[in-house]
Amino acid sequence: QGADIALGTQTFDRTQPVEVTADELSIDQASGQAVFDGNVLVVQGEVRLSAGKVTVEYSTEGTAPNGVSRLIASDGVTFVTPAEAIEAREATYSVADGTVRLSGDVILTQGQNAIAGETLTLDLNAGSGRMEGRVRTVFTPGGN
Amino acid sequence: MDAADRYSRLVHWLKIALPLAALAILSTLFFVAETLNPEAAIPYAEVDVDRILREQGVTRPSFGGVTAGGIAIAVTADSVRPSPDAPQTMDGTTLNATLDLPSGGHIEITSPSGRVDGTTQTAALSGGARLESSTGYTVTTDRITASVIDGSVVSEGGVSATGPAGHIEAGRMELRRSEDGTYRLVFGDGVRLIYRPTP
Repeated sequence: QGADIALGTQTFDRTQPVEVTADELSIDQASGQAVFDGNVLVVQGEVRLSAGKVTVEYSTEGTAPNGVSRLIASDGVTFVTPAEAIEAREATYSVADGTVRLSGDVILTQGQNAIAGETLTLDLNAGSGRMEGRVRTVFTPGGN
Repeated sequence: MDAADRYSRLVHWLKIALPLAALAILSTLFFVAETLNPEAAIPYAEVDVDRILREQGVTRPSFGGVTAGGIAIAVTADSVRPSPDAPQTMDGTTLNATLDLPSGGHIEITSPSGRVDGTTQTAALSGGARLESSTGYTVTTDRITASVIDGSVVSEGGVSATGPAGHIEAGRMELRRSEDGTYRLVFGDGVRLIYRPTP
């Protein structure tokens, strides 16, 4: 069973520049794979994703990589939008189509209430998400 | 009758005038001949001979080897002169270092000037070094030091790079060998990358 979630972010523009800061970036000279290590922070517009490690996956035109298609974050991920904060173990942020898939003890807090589950897929363009796997909702009753 | 006379008189004059004209043309042959300059026949090299005598220099030297990790390094320079202040070291112009990595991959570093140190077997490429990697990344920094012994390549000072993942700024850059024997170009000291998605 799953729960649909409406996200607060309506104005997400996936062509905004993506800025990644980290302690270290290493590029494998055989495969060309780029990996960010050490408190990595990915910022695009008002959306921010921080993780221990982020691997860059290229979209390839023929054999030559011609841009970033996905960022695979691991070692504990927090994903923050203006209205929500989401914790998970891993996340795959597809820059190409503006979708995020978080998995591993996902906890989404939105204002007062929180939802927990196994995996959460978000579509930032549409501003919607779907939580699946042992979904539990936590309400804080009647805060004054 | 006089027509025939005039004709024969004409022929008579022509018999004299034509050979004279031929002689005149022949004699001018030697005046119009282009002046031969024996000096220009052998082009001399305009090289400052006494500069060569004063400084011992080597042109197009190359220096290199295979590192412990299996990288084939070759460093060439346009010209090299022994540096006055350090023994066994040479200062060179337009240096070019190429590294062939065992795990596949190729790195080429060029710089306008540099110093090759025989004792430590290192080449320091300075004056604005530029590194191009076969993975599509181009790195520019001030100085890069490459060592033939351990195959380390280290930048001194900040670097900026562009490549498939975007534009990168970092505090330093180093070629590091990971446990499984593959080589990684590692940017450190605070890395910042900007990637503009193509719409």
